[in-house]
Amino acid sequence: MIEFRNVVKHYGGQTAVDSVSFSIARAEVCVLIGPSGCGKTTTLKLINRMLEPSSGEVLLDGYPVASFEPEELRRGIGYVIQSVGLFPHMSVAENVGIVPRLVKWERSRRERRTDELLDLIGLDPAQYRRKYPSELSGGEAQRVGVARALAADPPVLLMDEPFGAVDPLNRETLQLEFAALQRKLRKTVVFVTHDLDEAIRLADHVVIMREGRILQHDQPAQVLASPANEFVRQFVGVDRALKRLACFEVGDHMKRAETITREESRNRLNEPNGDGGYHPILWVTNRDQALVGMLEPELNRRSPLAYRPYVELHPAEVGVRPAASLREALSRILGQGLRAVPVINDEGRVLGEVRLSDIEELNQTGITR
Amino acid sequence: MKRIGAFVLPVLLVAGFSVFVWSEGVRELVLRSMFPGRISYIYERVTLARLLSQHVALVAVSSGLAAAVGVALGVFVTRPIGRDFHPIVQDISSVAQTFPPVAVLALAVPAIGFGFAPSIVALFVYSILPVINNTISGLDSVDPAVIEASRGMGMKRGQILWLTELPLAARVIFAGIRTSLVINIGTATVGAVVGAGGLGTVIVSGLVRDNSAYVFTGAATAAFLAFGLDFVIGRIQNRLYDARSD
Ligand SMILES: Nc1ncnc2c1ncn2[C@@H]1O[C@H](COP(=O)(O)OP(=O)(O)OP(=O)(O)O)[C@@H](O)[C@H]1O
Ligand SMILES: [Mg+2]
Repeated sequence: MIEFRNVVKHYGGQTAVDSVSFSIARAEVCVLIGPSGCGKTTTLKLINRMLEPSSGEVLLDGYPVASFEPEELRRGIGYVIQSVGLFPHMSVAENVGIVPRLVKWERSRRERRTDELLDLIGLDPAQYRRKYPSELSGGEAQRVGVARALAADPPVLLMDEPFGAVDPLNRETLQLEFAALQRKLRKTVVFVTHDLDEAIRLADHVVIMREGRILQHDQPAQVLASPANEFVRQFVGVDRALKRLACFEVGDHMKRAETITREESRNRLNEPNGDGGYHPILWVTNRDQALVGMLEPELNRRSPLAYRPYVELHPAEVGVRPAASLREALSRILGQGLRAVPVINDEGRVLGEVRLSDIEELNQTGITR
Repeated sequence: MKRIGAFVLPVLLVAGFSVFVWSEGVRELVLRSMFPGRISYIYERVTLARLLSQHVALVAVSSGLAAAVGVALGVFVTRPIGRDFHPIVQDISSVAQTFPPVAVLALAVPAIGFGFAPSIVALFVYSILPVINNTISGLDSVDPAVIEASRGMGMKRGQILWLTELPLAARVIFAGIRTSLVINIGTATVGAVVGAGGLGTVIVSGLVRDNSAYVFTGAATAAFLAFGLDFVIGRIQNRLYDARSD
């Protein structure tokens, strides 16, 4: 979808982008990351011709971007600007509707689209349509910036630190919202950040840059597992193993869980320890099959019984959702002091379990020292 | 209560002003009570209403031209093609503004001659300066990030000017036009000296004949015109910018 071929960009004597080649597939989120001044914004602006390369070329759908009229090109590419960049003299609706206005949609169609987008980003149109950017919170302004970029439904989205200006808590909310939105919209997204956790959370591929060069271009889990060089290793940090767990979804790594009813649990309580073979945690469910408690295996070999007495559980505290990350599952496992935690759905039904041993195994197979 | 007052007061003032201008009987009564013991209170050669309309014509034409040409010039020197003229135009317009208006007019007479048209030219030259000045500083003060955003959304040069720069600079540009208008209303009274008519005629006549009632008539009318117009433009400005708290 987007391809860089030996792209170089000089500013005067300084080289901001140094012979960069890489490509981004359709519907993928590619995150450019690196220290300040490494050329991320410059790289992004070369795509929609806000900047022209000193040499090399950028292709969009196989055509050099230089072959398009710059304004036409930009109207077809959504752009979320570093530090928001909303028009202060235009209302929220006018801001969101600017590209449709430039490509001459009728007013009624524009208004419908604006409302639709405000709904999509979780701002009530009736309440926000008429507001001006100065009346928005940082998070709301960022959302409007995203809506504006999506307005004419462009296949490609360029996002330059779109959530940079909000506090960490709000940023996480925005990231999760964006991830959900992207699952629906499936745009080709080039996303700039210098927040590694954000990159891990959102990226299909990350491009790690330094001084205008690409150091590594790979899936986030792969970058964390085997950093290409010392700089990347330092950049991703000593806790990369833990960060890497954030790349995996619980749903992909859960195992079958054993569930029993409260009545059955009474029988199992008398089960003898026997030969000390493997005893799974027994998740106890009620008549609606919702998780209510568990029987935990006895670890003390000399105990005559296989299971400890029944323990009541709060599903919200113990259970993880299939969409959660293994990192979250691990933190539950450690928090509860268990060997596994149940995977539950919205109704509290047990879908499976995530085991500490599986996480350990996954960790060992991927990581290079 | 306050709102009613805000509405009633201007209406009363305008009504009083109209009566003063159009009814010579009332005017004579007012002036007689202010300046007792004169021979004449009413300028007899031309009606005050006619002088007022001449005055308004002088101001409207010269200020209209100044606004149009001034904004255009300000836009020109902030475009890439006009950039070279930016410093010259800005210097000239800020220096020229320090000349007293009367001096400008006095210099214009030997150059252009007497009458309505030369007065227009002189008034135009003087009142264009605040417009140019404010247009330039208004456009220069637009946040480059917003212009960058406009470019990023796919606006062409002209669209950036119309949809982003001018609206954002409008407040400052309007302030320039407002200043130029108010200055022009005052300066136009001096136009009488060069035979352009207007409210200055009755003032000059009063000065020559040592008749303070005449001088007051012209000065008060011009002053009211200036205040009134300034008030109205201020209102329009507020109306335009009330909604956005930028
Ligand atoms: N218009 C410009 N003129 C000259 N140098 C520039 C210009 N824009 C960027 N640079 C330089 O090019 C380099 C790359 O800049 P760029 O904006 O792409 O960095 P970045 O990775 O986006 O940084 P940040 O994370 O701080 O936004 C920097 O060293 C910067 O100083
Ligand atoms: Mg940047």
